[in-house]
Amino acid sequence: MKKFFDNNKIVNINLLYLLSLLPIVIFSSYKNGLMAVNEGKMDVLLSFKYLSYPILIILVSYLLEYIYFRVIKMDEDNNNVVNSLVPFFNLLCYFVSGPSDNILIIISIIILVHLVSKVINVNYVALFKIMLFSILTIYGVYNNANIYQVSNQYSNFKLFMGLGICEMGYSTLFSIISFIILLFNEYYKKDIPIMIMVCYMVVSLGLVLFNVIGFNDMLVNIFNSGLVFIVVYVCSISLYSPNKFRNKVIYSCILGIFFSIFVNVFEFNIGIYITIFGYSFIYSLIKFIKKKFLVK
Amino acid sequence: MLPVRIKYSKSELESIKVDSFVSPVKVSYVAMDGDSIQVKNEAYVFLNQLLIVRSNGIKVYSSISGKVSIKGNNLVILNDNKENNIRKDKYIKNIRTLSKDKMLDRIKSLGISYQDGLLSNVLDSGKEVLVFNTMDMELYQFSNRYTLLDNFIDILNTIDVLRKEFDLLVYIIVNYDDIEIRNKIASVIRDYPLMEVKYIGSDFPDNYNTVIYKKYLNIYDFDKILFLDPLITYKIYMAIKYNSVLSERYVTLWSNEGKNINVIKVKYGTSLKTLVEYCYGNKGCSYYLNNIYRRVVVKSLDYLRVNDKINSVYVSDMEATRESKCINCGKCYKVCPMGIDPVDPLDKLKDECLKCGLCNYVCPSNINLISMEGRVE
Repeated sequence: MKKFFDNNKIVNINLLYLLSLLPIVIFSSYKNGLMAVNEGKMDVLLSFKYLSYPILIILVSYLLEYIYFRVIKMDEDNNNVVNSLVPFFNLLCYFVSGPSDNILIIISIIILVHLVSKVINVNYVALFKIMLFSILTIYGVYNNANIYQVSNQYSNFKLFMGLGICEMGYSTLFSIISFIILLFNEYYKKDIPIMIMVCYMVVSLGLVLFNVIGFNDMLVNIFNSGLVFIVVYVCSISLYSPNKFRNKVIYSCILGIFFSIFVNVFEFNIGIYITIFGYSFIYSLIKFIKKKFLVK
Repeated sequence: MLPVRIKYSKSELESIKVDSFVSPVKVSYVAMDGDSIQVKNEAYVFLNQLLIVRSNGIKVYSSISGKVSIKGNNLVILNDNKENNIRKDKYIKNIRTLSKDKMLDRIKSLGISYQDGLLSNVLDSGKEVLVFNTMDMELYQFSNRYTLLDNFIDILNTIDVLRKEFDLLVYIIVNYDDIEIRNKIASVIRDYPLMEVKYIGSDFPDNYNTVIYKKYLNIYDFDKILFLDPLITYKIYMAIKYNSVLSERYVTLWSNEGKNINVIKVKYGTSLKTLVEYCYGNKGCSYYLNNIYRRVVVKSLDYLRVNDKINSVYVSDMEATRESKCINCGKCYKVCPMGIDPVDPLDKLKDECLKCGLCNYVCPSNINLISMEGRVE
């Protein structure tokens, strides 16, 4: 029989989440660091930044949580700090940012999102990505290519591997590997990514049938948009996704349909995050109204 | 799949220490507002003498003999260890000879409790089915098990008498994995041909009456079913045969994640603190009453006495678990046998909560989801 009382359950969940991201950490440092060194575009020592940044992000996250709970909220112990999922969220934020984005900008936006998330319960990663995209676009520096990438002509296999011009963690292959690792986490909502992908594929195949897009375009769009990474990690974050089966189906259908339209029809990949953010915002709003007016 | 099974390992069952603690220095009872105290201060009370009549008709009897002292609402009886019984020699030889009306009269006059009401009212309310649940309600509780093992034939005879006199259909619920009870039932059941045995598995909380009803007996109207356990059945037996009440019962005390289990026969009204000290010395800094997952935690046992509602005490070395923020993992909803989403304040089913505590068990944030205060909103 299991232990009756365990104060470290969330720590273990957190560890499993971080462990599942390990293949992506290694892949991103290979793609953006080691390959750049091979191309002669980067110093060997500098290439290690892609391995050290995730650690820096985790440390910053714990520091932020410590300041929030121990200093602002005056908690008596470190329970909430240790059991926080924010390090995992922030690591996801790092992986949805571009390889050449400045780490200080990323950390600044993380601090901002961290503050907002304590007030409104909206999807943390989606909010981060929208803010990052908006700021970088306003300053005209939004670019997902790394230091050596010049062409955007990649084979489907390379795109599937995640070697194209895309965000740090966008690798379909490694996202699938991470998903397999996450299947061992009993607290991970594994049915949500599957349902979203099924819905997405049904709508996309419908678009292919009606000749809106070609079949190859559909595949390229999946690999290029980081859809699998987003579906595996961002959409299934427990805090912002429903629990009941019926609600999960509704959630997955809405996301699947919107994703397919944004990715295939408008080719506006940030629309994925806008959908996730919009859903979590409306969901929080409904919850707030219910709590305020319906609970006696 | 539910995460908890009521299947104890061989070593766990072998480690159970069955003991008795039936000579306490004193016992005490509390009279609530509206209750009437039936004895005078400094009077001598006999064993089984009426002490208090509760406002709902339930009667409280002395479990020892000795001198009583009344301070406010508190009655304390100092044990003279003589066990002078006020009702001795008043028994019938064969309980089958007693008619239904006489049986009801005896139970009514004794004011025996059943849940929060009177047993006589429940028996007289036109029940059609009797479900005799041999299992203990919560994990690591063996009070019913040992009451049944000690008084096996008397209890089964009582069930048979009730079946005959009240014209009831009888189902006996047995845990298939409890080999000792299963074998005992199998060896005698041919003597009771009109009783049907239903074996159920070990998933917790399949032993709860509501779940038994939902899974196996939902062809009947729930209100027409009388659920009895070994303890209450033995009380009926005592009432019918001796026109008397039980003065002692089994209580399970356990600690160390189930590795140190004591099943103690103890007098009603004995201080739980004394009992815990008897088993574990001064160990423990928090105590969980009955179902450990329900998290009814008390820091001190000073004011708690053995009664019908406390079946087990878990003696914990740890301070109460620390709660952290809900991560909305949905595990509580997944394991709930009633399909309730504990974190949804508007869940329509929340009134049907069995308080089995499975949600608390799986919650990674250690939130007490059963108590309304702990419900995440």
